[in-house]
Amino acid sequence: MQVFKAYFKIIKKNLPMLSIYMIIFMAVAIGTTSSNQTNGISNFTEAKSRIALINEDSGSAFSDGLEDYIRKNTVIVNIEDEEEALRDALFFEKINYILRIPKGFSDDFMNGRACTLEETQGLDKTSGIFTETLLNKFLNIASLYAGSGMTQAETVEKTLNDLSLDTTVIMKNFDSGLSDGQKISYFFNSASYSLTIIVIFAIATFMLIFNQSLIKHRTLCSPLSQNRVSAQILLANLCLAIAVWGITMICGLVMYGTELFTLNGFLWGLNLFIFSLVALSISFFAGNVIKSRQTISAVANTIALGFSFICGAFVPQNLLGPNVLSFARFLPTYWYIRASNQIGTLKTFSGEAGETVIIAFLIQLGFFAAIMAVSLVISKQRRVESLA
Amino acid sequence: MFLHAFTYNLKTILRSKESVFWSLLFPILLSTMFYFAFGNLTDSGNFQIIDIAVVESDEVQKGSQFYTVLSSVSDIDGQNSPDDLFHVVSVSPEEADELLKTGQISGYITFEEAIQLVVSGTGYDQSIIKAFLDEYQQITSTVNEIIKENPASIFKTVMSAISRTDYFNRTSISTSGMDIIVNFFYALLAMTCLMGSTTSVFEINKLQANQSALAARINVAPIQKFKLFLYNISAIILFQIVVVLIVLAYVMFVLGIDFGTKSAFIVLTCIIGSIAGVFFGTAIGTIGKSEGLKVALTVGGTLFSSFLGGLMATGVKYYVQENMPLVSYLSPANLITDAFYSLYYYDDYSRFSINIIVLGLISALFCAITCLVLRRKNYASL
Repeated sequence: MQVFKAYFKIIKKNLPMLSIYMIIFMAVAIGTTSSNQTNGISNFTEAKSRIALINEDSGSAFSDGLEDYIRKNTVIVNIEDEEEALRDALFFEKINYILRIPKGFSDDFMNGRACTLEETQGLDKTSGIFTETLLNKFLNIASLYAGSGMTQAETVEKTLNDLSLDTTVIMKNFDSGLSDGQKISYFFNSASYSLTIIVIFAIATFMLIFNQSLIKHRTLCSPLSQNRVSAQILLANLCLAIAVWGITMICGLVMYGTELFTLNGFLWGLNLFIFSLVALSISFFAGNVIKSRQTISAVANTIALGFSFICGAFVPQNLLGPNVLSFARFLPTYWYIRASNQIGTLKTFSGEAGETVIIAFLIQLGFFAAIMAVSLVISKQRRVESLA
Repeated sequence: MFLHAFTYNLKTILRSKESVFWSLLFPILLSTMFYFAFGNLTDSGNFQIIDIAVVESDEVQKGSQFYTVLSSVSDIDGQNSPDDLFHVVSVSPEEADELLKTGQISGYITFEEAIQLVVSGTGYDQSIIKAFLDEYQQITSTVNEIIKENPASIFKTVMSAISRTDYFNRTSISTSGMDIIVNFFYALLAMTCLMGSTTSVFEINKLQANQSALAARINVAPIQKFKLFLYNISAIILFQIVVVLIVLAYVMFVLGIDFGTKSAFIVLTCIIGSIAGVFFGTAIGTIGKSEGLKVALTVGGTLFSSFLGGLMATGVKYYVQENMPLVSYLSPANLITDAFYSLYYYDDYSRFSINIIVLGLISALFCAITCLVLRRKNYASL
């Protein structure tokens, strides 16, 4: 096992470099997960728009009643009434709606004069329409009461009374029992990025050292057969990939704890394990093709970032266009993410959903075998070249 | 002397074809991938008609009160209108369950005793259906209430209940449109600027006699190291600026990403960004001997900074800006991204100027660190 040992000596020497990659990219994966705001909840809760409310008409019973109603039915985000702060919040979807109740609104409204609320919608038009519906509902009912000659306070009270009528909602749950399935799958999706880039960086760097022509020639004249050298290098690479997989899983356990000690957790782990094999084969391929250190970072970045975006690691797959997705099918990451998303909603490992996961596993293994075969051929070719 | 060192260094950079190829190809490839991946994303914010089902029963027969109201916001009567909220199918309870399970509808309405809504998830679509049903019941209750108290107003009430008023005055906030996707491209360009740091790590190795044989030879040449450093560095900066401008041109003109109209300032941002990237690399290049470690620091630093600037998820940039304002001023990619963003989104230049000034200060700091470490270094033995 001389080659294997030598490989680990190199790893040991480069441990600071490896840990920097590890820390930075795990931080990226975890940070991306936490910035994502999706949450799957198993009881029906009404969606609430995040809005900024500026009430210039406060003090009148009607406008205050309206403000109370808005507070109950939306999430009020406190943002300074400054143009820059409001615009930033709207752009980055911290809020999706700005509502301004102009001065004198209640007077005009109660007396049936034309009056309007000033709204600014953000990017998410659905949320905007939803908020409008809520507000129009209140105002339309209130206008009926106001028109029948009631005072401001009475109008608000009667309106709120009517609005408390609620439709019964039955939640049919076809999802997994996990409280946070979507979020965990999001973590595993972004982990595909960190895993790919770390594994490629590490393995390609080390393979480059073994492929330097002088060292290679020296290895070639040793009594060790070439197949055994290749096998030992591969084994060492495998250990490295498993280590990266293990660290990622530990991060997952720290973040989600016992939720990973479930069938879903097991499947996510297995999925990531199979994917690290694919990453290993890609790095093995890259290590055999790349000739200089400067190239490694560009190649690793292109593959890791490019695949992640095209295949939906950061932007969810259902938001990507159909053309992008049909192209992404030719990339292993697509199948990894597909399986990961599916596992997030899996209740039992059977039926159609289970089948999707198994197929995704098999396709990833297929990628692993194919890329591995090609890189072994290339490595053999280059061995012959280097002797010529 | 300047011309000699400058041109030779430029030639060296250009002749390593592999790295030229990758420094250009990587951002162009990645921006193309972004372009295709996000092509669909802007549309997702637009309102799309919600698919629902109604379980067949007497209450939803043609001509019933509920049917009339529902048809005013849906195509249940076979008439599409641009204001429709729902696309409705009438089905049996079993079919409704199946449609819900396969996700073909967001929810279905059923009349067992009272109106009920059956859904399988939570979201705006489901909430809009619920809001509609709530309103239907509420308006019914209001009309009954008013008639009870003031029977004489029945005609007026019913008439105004039918004619719904819209109480909104809608304003748009920016002249240049608003598209969160552009931020991905801004962060990508910031990353391209900072990528020069990796090249300059190798460059600075050429000047430190204990790092390479070439550097040892250069060190005995009768020229001040500081001058040589400046000459060499200007070559990389030039190379880096050209790379960034090519990528900028590609993103702007081929992919058609909107950067606003202030072209001169956009180019200025690219130039200052590239300089910041190069000096970040030279500063890292002076620490320690391990090349692998330095590359890891520059590559990792570049990507982490770009991550904070919103390369992987735009929410991260806003989060950093709101909760860790200091970090957003220290991370070069945040400054570059924010400079592009403020040029695109705001009309005045105050925010842009702050970004550029801080970026300039950071570059100066990195440059100073490099010079302090490099200067007057002698090697007793190599």
